[in-house]
Amino acid sequence: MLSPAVPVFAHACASPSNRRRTVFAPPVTPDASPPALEELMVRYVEGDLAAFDELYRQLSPKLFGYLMRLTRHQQRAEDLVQITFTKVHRARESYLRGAPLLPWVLAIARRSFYDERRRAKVRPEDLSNDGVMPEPSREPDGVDNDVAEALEGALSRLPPTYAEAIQLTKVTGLSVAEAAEVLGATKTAVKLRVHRGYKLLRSELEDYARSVVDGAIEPS
Amino acid sequence: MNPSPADPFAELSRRLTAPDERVLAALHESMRKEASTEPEGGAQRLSRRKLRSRAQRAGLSVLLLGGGLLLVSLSTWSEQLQWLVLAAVASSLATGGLLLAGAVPGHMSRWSQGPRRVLLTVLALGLLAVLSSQADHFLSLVEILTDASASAHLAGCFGHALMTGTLFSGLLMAVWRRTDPFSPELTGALLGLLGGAFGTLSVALACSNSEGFHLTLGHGSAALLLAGIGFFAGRRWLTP
Repeated sequence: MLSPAVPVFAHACASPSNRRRTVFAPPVTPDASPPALEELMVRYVEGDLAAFDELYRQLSPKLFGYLMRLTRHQQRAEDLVQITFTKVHRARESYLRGAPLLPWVLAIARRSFYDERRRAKVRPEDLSNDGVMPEPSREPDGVDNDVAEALEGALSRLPPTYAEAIQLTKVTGLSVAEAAEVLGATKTAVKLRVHRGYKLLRSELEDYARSVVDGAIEPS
Repeated sequence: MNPSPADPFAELSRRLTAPDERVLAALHESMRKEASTEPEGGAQRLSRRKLRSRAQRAGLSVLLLGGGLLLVSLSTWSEQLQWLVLAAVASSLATGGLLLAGAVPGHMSRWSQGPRRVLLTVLALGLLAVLSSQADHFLSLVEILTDASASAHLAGCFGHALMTGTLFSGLLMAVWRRTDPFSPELTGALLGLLGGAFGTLSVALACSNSEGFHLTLGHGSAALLLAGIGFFAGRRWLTP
């Protein structure tokens, strides 16, 4: 019998067009719900700099996670977070009221990533001896100890376009239409990337599930 | 063993962490430096009174285009003022309608990229088609280019359309500056073409030549050139 990891993942990998969009909100205390991002942005544009800190608190984890997916390098992702928020600050007067903020900020971040990549030369110290980018670090025994970590590892091994589409729609919580705007692609193209990414993830996680059943690791 | 109902993607989302605190500290520092150089008092209030909504920006775009068209066509007022005003109002409203309806830069509710690409193509081809339809005769292109006065007239009209179109496109770019991180190239091409079309309209009001190649090359090609320039300028000016 297969581990429950596969049925759980199969549900999570259902076609995005057949599922309602899941919005991942930050944890909130029962008596105080955080203001919406758009409301914070309007206050920030009006001159309330305290709203900027709250905006940063809510946006930076998703932004950092997305940029880590693109760069696979913590230092560069942090630099890009700073560049992105600096651009947001300078262009805050240009923010159109009513426009969804998260796709706007992610689009700025994505353009910043590609601008920086065009300008920067390949840093030789980042390449392994055979000229290949190093793989993300893994556990010493080479196995993951829960489904989420297995999924993270599998995501990092996907082709970048598939990983980016899945990151935006499933982890960051954008709708397909919003992800398409950020990526500069059509909705159909985004759905196709997500679908193909799911297929690859499914086959990767089936290997993980088999290893659990075989008793190679203890699931947490 | 009972299966966990947790969504692994939700778990990944829950594990998202903020970057190192030095990032926020660096942002605060740069914002403090910028605040120290901002103007104070009335000047500060004036600089803060910026365009906030897409309706305000679209309205300003319409006013600049229509008003600009009337101004650059001053020499023709005495002859055809009513037609000029009609042309300015109609074309400005059409532009405003396009901007509000489907092509507003940086706003999620606008048309997706596919329809906007179609719009760009239709406008470009439509402009050439309208110009061709107004021609009452066509000469040989070689004949035009080898005739000194004809080629000079064509070059003059092209220059007029290009300069006026650049002015209009530049104004539109300024109104929508830094508003579109999503598809600034496409938006820039559209704004370039719209500004160029107004340049074409302004030279058409002043030039009586109705030869086909003169209209398409001399009057219309500047708009297409500005669409191409707008594609690259948009990447620079329209993205935050």
